[in-house]
Amino acid sequence: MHTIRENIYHLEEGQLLTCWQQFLEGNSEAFGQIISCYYAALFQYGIKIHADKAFVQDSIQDMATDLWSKRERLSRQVHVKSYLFKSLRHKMIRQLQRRDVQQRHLLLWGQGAREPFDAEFSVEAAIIDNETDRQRKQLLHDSLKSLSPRQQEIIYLRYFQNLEHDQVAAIMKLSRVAVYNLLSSSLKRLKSQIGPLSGIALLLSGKYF
Amino acid sequence: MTDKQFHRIEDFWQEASFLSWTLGKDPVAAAWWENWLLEHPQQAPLLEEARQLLLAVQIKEHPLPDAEIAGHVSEIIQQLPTTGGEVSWLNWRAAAIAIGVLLLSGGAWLLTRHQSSPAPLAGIPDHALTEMVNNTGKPVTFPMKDGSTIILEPGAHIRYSREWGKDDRTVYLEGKAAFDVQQHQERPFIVNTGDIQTVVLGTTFTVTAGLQHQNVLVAVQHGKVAIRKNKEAAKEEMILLPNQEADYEASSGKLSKTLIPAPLAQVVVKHQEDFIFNDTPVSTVFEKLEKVYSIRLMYDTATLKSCTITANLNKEAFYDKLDLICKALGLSYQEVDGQLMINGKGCKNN
Repeated sequence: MHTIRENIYHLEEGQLLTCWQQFLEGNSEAFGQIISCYYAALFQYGIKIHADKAFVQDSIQDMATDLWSKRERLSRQVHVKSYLFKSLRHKMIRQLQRRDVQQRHLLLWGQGAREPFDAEFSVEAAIIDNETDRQRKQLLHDSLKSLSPRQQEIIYLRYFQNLEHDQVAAIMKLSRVAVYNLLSSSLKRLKSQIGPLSGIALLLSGKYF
Repeated sequence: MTDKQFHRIEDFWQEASFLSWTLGKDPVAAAWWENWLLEHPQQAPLLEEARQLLLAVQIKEHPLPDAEIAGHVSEIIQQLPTTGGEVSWLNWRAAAIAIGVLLLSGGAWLLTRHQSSPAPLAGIPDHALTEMVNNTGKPVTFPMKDGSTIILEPGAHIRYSREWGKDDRTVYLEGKAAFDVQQHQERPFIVNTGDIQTVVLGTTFTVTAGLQHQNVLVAVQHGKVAIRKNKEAAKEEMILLPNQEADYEASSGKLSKTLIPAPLAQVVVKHQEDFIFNDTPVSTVFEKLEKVYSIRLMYDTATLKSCTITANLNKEAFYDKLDLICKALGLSYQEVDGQLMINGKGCKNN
């Protein structure tokens, strides 16, 4: 998975904090740096909430404009990445709900709130040379697909965006315990459905040790 | 964490350092887990399974080129509501930093080699300026309000007015930076480096070199730049064309023009046969080189009239191309004032 593409807009932690504070004081270039730094991550996240690329990009822009407008009310000490993720998620989901309301002429507020998420999981075991491993791979793939959107989103944020439990909780507006439990149950479910992966593990182990 | 028990796969997955080791290849975490494994050898299969399962899971990444990100961010910045925005300022550090400007993509680069202490800017109080500093170890990209981009190299910093972008696009630079400048005819983009000023008007660049103690090197990769010595009453200009550079020596005040070491093609070479020559008159070959690299070649057409070239020079860099041609025809070349003078006795008719 885990060839992490180098982010040319990457900011060190101290630099990020400086930028955030300059942004709060009205420095639009500092704000631009922050957005540049997280644009790719936000885009990848957004597209898992809704697959329409243009919609995701418009949402990032709207979110950025909103943040800029309310900068005087923002906290100086925030976890920037999760704050941006939370803001984008909120923006997109509200917009999607609005669309639902328009399309179906229904009032959906507060009921059956739509929180779609498709992590687009796939399983890639480097060397698969027998039927058992092929079946396991398929099983793992199916199990991942069968996770609820919420479970997928938690796994995605926790493991693929490298966010802490409480940051995931803040983004998804869940309690920390709820995140922990949801994560735990998804992992258990995956494990129970697949059984030991020792076949694949054995084949792959040369790669990592 | 050392006391923690790991009995199940998910116990590992709940551990941050396990994730940063497995997914992030964090060397500190790797060392910790390798050590843990030595102490718990019986856990090796479980650990490995937890790793492999995690590693086998992938998510689809949607391609998004860096250039596209830059475009979107600059659009976001340009469309920010301007009302009520206060511009911040920071005290700039009075550290001596090697000064340089790098102008790229539609630009030129400029590099001063002398160390200097940044001086307060004449006529501009410090508090009217915003400053951005790159104190990281890597180049940092700053999208500007007007859609231009500044890439600051480590240690570099820029200062600019609170009113930046309205009528005037002046930045004061210490250190080395790359600029990708948006064209606005009525609002020149000005890069000040100590005493030296570079004025960019769309694709035309003007670099003005001051006198004091700084040597300046300005190299144009694309576009056009004019350089002036700032303190001279008669503002004599030196025009730099693509692939040319100007070397300004502060002690003597001498400004000389040469070609940059590795000239870049100015037009996209679309067809494979572009530098494939088959009994082609050398004047045609030279014209092609001139066109692609925007470098002026001076030669006596009458003398070289009967010279022809048969070669495939698609892959060679500019000087390699030229060397091969000259070698084949017994020609020599010398650089004069940012242009190439080609000499030779010509070719005999076969």
